[in-house]
Amino acid sequence: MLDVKDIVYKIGEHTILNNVSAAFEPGKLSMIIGPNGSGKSTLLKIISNEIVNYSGAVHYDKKLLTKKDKLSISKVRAVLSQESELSFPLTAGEVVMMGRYPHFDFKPSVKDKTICSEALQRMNIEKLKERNYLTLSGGEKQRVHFARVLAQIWEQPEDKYRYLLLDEPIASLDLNYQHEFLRIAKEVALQNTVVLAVIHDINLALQYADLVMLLNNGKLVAAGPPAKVITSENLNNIYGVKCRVINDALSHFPYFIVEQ
Amino acid sequence: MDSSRLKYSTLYLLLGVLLLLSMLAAIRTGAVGITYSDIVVSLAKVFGLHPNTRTEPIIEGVFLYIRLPRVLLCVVIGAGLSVSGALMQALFRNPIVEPGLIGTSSGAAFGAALVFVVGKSFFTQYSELLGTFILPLSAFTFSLIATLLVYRLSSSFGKVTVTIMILVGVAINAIAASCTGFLSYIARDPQARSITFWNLGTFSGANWNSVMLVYAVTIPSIFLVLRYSKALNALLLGESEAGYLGIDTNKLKMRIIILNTLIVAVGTSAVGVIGFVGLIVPHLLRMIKGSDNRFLIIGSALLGAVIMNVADMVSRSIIAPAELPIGIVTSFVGAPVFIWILRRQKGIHSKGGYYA
Repeated sequence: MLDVKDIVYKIGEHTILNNVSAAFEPGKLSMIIGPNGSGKSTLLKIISNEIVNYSGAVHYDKKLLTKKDKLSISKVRAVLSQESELSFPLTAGEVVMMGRYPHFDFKPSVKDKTICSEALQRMNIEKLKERNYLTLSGGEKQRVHFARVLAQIWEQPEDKYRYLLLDEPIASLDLNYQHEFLRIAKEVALQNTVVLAVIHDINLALQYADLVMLLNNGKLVAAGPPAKVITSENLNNIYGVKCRVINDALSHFPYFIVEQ
Repeated sequence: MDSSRLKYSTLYLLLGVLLLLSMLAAIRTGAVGITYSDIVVSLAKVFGLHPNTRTEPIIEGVFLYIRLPRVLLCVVIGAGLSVSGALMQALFRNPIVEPGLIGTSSGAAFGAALVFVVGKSFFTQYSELLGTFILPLSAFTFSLIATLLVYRLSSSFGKVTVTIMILVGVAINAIAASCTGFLSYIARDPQARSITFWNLGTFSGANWNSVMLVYAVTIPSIFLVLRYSKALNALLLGESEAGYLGIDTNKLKMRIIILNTLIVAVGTSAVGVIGFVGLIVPHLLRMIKGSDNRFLIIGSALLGAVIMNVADMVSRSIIAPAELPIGIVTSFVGAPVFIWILRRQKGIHSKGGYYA
């Protein structure tokens, strides 16, 4: 269970987040959507402990998040960013092993190594293991990082949930990889994990999300099942474009189009 | 041979053997010829044995009081500067950083010169004790000030790009070098007067005191930084990512900067500024087998020692019987390699670096 309560975050006079509260449950794929500058990435940074000077509270498993729990929380919580700045030659296998860093002191155990190969298998990139990360394509790099965060929270801790935070993880990916990512994210959620993703593509939210949180100007506009939150009215108000959400009998989920 | 398939342990063994060979070669190089039996006999005597073979006392003296301390000092300073290069490169997430470029070495040289010159010229009670402890302490202080200045000033421009950092480094280096130059100008002591001693580095002053001091600081520091190799690897992903992996990046950066400055300052106060070794050694290792910092730290210590030994042999023999300051040798070879690395890393000024 991941709870955020009364989050207010300001930079100078400018209010980035204004009194945002929400709860994210394990077993569900939750998504934060909203226009540029709505504060969705900021909210994720607050939840992931990167921004600390906010007011309000973030609770993991009913335990208040403070500055100090960096190491303990990193054993059950992984964060995937849009792009990594890694610019040194490491093998893909070594990058994935970094996900196990919170779990060992000096040398990876046999278990850590097994988990890494399983994570590579899960992402279908075993063949990249010995490849130099710098020579990989953008999509391959992002899959390596996804394997890394999966390896980080591979094991189910006793009486604790796991947390996977994704900050626009698929923005730079090809169509097929976008869907592969979200399918895996959904599978991970079903294994007692809170999965929370900031996402730009509203149709993907309609298709994959179990819960959607719509932010605008730092305020929570609506939260709930995608069909209730992503309505043509909400989209018209927030994005200022004429949209129509279509419930097609042939597809299993609604989708939306922008009208002229 | 595909070096990426070599195991780490095999590489360490190879580098270790190379180090021993380079030490032997360095001991035997010079005006006085020293044979292997001279080495064995002299060492046996030191350890209290009474070998049957005899050695000329003069050769034994040259070996025990000139060559051996010099080679040992070369080994430890080569190791220290190269490890420092590896640390700085991991910290700044850029493969073209080294202590000579960001003020660490020149600050240390100024701190050492300050004690050397002011201490000797103005305090009549200048004692060995003052020299042994105050000298490295002052080198460390000014080295840390210079490094932190470069670090802070380059952060004040927003994102710390390598271009900004190196430009700030140039400015801080110039200030430190001009202060050191002024000190050597007013100095009375002939050695302190020699500006080449501070700015080009030389092992000609090596003695057992300097060997002990530099070893006592460098070797434990290298073992300490090895503990952080995992955290430094994670830092390569970016500061936020390292934080998500449970690493307190601010604490890590401060500890690495302090340990690194300690290594460089103590080395520089003993032999002056020696550039480019710290840049090239980790880079070579990265080309041989990737960027795992554990490997880079251990490998740099070994390979750095080998390269410093070779550079010192060249500096001693190229214009024998005179001696070239070693900094001339390392810069002459190192600067072109630096340019080559720069060209290979096209666009490095836009990538890497980090946000402050």
